[in-house]
Amino acid sequence: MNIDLDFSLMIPELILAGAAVLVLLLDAFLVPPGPSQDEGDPRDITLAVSVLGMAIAAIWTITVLWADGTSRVSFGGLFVVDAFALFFKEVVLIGAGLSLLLSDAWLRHHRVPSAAPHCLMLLATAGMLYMISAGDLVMLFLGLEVMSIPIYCLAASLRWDDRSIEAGIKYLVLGSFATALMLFGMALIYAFQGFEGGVATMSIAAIQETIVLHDGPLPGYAFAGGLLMLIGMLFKISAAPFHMWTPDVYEGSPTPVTAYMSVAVKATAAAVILRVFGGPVLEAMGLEGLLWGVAALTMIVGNVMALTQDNVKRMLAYSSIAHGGYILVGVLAASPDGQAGVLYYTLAYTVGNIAAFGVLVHLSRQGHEVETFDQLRGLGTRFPLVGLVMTIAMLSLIGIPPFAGFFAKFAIFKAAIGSGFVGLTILALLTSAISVAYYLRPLVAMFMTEEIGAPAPRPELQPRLALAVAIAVIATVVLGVMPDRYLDWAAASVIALAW
Amino acid sequence: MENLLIPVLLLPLVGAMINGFAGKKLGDKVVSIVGIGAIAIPGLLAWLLLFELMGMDGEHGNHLSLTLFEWIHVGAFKADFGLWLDELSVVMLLIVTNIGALIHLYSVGYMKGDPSYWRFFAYLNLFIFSMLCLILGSNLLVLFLGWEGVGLCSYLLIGFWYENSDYAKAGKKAFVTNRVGDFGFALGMMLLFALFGTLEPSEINHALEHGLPTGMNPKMIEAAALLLFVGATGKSAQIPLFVWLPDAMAGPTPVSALIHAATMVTAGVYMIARLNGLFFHAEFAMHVVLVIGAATALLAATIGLVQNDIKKVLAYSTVSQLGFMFVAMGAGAWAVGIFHLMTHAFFKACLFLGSGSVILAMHHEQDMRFYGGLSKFMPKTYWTFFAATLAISGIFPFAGFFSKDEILWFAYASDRGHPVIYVVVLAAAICTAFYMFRIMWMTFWGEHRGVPEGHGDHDDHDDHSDHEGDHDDHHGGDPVESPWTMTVPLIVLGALSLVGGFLGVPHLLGNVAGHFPNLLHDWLHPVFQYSEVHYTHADGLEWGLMGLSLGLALSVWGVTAMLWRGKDKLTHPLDKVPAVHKLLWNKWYVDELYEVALIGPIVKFSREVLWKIVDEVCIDGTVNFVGGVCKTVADGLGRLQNGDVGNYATVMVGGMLFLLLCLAGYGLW
Repeated sequence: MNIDLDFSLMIPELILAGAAVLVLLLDAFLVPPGPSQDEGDPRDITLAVSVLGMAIAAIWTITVLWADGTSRVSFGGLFVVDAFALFFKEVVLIGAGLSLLLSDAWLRHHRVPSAAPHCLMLLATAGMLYMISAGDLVMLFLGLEVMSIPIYCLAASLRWDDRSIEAGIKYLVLGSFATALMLFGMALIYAFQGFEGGVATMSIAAIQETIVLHDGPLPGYAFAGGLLMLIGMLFKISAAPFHMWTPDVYEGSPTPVTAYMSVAVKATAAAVILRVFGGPVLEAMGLEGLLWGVAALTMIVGNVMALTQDNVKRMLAYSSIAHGGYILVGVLAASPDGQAGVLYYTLAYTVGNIAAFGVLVHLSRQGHEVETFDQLRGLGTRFPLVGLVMTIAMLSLIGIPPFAGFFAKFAIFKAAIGSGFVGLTILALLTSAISVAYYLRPLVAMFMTEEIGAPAPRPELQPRLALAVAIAVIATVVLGVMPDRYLDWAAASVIALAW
Repeated sequence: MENLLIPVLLLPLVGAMINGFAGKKLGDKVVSIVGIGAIAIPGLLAWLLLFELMGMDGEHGNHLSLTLFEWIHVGAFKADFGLWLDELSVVMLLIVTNIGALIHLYSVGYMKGDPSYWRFFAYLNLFIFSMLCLILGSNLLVLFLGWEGVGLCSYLLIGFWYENSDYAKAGKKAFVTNRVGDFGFALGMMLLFALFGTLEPSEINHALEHGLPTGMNPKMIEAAALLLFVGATGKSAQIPLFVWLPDAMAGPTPVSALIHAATMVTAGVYMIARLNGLFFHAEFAMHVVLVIGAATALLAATIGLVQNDIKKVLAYSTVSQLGFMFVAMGAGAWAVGIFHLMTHAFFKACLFLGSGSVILAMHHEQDMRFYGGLSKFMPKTYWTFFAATLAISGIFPFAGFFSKDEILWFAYASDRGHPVIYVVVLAAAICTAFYMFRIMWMTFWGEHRGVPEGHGDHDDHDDHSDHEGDHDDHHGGDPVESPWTMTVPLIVLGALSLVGGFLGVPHLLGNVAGHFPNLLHDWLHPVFQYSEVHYTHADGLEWGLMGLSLGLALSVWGVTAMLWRGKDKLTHPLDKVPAVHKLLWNKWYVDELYEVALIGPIVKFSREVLWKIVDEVCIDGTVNFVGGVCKTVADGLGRLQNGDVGNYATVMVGGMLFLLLCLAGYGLW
């Protein structure tokens, strides 16, 4: 077998990994220990390297690789670079890059050294990119591990805070469990491919072909294998009933890490589900009905549970579960429209969510976290710009025009109706209506109630955080006002998935 | 060259943003410069655009167009944010930017010392931006954006002194009344799109150039035109939606001049002219326009006869003059309507600004019974106001004579006109001359009566009369002329009122004067060339009617002189017929009628049914029920979410086993 090794396709991943190593080396040899004190601190070099790494990777992805256009496969089928992968990579890099900027402000506020968290974020992001480009189950699994392990550490990175440690441990235990299930599923599928497909290969494309061409129902162990693999990804996308870890982990983790998990991990999981189970595969595996149930349950659980939360991060955790449900609706639609809808949805959700978390990071200080609705009281009136950002973020997450979330939901619901999922779409609309109640709560707290007790000091504006939030807000508005270009882009990206 | 449209459109927006966001810190001087500059520069550029258009020689008219960005593309629906400048819109552009700039200059003097000076200029600039969207929009959606934008600015500016709840209410009334019209407009737009598959007026007119396209239902055309006209009755204050405009005079006087006389309220006329192809093929709709216009012209003019508040008279006069314009539109005399729109912008802006100057000099007293003899104290205001009065009354050879007389002639001679309409409009014209000369007698001529002691604090304006300090005299002292920032615009507009009519000399008169062309008519010809309505040519009759209306106007002047010249008492001839006086004084009881027939029942229905039953029982009940169910479910599920990892793993495994069982079942079936 002639194995080609085209490293040029892998440049974004290599940049991220290189930046991660560089950050560690700089931290070890050049930078004094301890947290960054103020602007111009030599420790900031690690941040500069991390941000530059993300930015160059993102720019490379969108310019050089996208410009080439064609789908390419290298490393003997392990690594696939096509428009679909590049779109998701761009979304992940945007989400990760903005989270990185948020984390800088947060780490300063909390006097935490920044090199290790930044290194972990770079590595996890590299893992995500590998997962998105995986053409092979082995590659997928390696990417999954490279992504997951740094995130477990990130969740626990506030090591003197019990909640953070607890979040890390919980995520590790349950995540390992899910990974084990997925691995077992892969083994079963590999066996199926070996028996039925003739060639024992881990290639996703080959396995899909075997499944689709198979006459009659699949044998039981293949069903089970497919289901277990799906469960592994449903865990990462936090779909019910595999969502239980989400609220605790999101609440306990440092806020920028929560932002990072909620956007980047979810986008990656959506990409893998679409890649592995997209097109006719889901139906051929007989998993369509089950995913229907999971999507419905996820939307219900996420939206209903979000109603009763008092903590904004926890509310956003359930909101993230609910959005996972909407993404699954798009996956179920299986048509190119639905797939394009999922792509657009992840992009819209990413920027809206980053803006919301950015507000929390901006307002929080060591010893004065702003996490609950009560702590937000009156702040919108006192800081109108902060209030405006939160308003745009919440309205976009509800799906109210003219913000990104509206067209995201519109695209998915339209595709779902086009594919005949009318009941599910009605359920999605109803749960969206419920979501209005909890998304408006932060706004009610910020604008329509008075602050309790002594007014909190005016938070100092961190320029990097301002940059991240500005990008997120502008993107939310632009995606909502002029969606055509980006919808077209998403539609062009899913052509790579076509059967 | 079409790129010039970008600064023309955007400078007012930039000005609005600078003044709106930073105006408070910039100080009044910078705010004035930004505010005026943001309109004056587009005003100058508009002339360049006019010359450019004049230099082009397309066979079927010329236009400059530009797509700023792709706005909405959904399926077959395509609306770009495009601009379109042709012979018609350039006329409107010149009026709006140049008169707008003059009124901005005037506002510097009028609003001096107001604590919200910056806010005023921000709104005013935003208004011009919206108006330019309305005029320049290449499709109806952009036009509608501007249409709503000017409505918003109008609302903000009517209620500019919102501390006074009456003013705030007037703003609200304007806004709500306009919503009714806008509803019609939006429906009309949708219908047009359904019919033509486009919202570009140029394409719609083009499709209708040679008659109705085959297979198109003429009733649908009528319906679309009527719906759009409903929108026009709102924005341009025609029956039945005119009631908001007189109340809108609560806004500062420059606002009345700019928005509620010269520009915004003419939007309905412009819209019909823009869609002349559509209306041309909607004969019934044109009849409706004609009748409504004539009725409004007369109704409003009669109300104006008896009012004592100087701005009220001018407000009803505006409603009436807008009626004239719609008569022209209904008679198919498109260019004439636009001509009257232009001359009206000159003289009515001049009249409003003049009244503002008087009001300032009289310490915000608007009741003309306390005026009199002001010509001595404020000569510049007096002469310009007089010039505009001559113009609006239709005295030869001033601006209004040409435009109004053309409307009268076409109301009679056009195939779509009618002698009865002619009589109604002529009566309105007589009333116009009467109430205008009445203002002259009560305000400028005769002896100065002055505001009696202790009367000054009766009115609502005192809470913002920070102007007092600038007009140094105390109550009861002699009124003084206004500063140059206010008199210069007056002089320019006064001069335009005198000579502006020569832009549209009727062919009849032009022939006498040695083939003097009807400049405006010829200029606009390409826009209207496919919608020309046939009319009777009868030179003798036209001469006769022209002489008749001029003679009537002059004799009304004489009558008013007989009534009030040298008298020290202000009696009104209608005092002898109290019933009529009362009817007119109370504005034909239209507001009361609406209160009883519409507002009362709607409020009652809303309160008793919508609020107490639909809202409290149905909606609240459903919401509370759903909320309760959700909360119960959440509490139940929340019990699973107890923070115990073992528990979470159990749920996961449970879920997995359940799904596997489902699969097993699926396999067995």
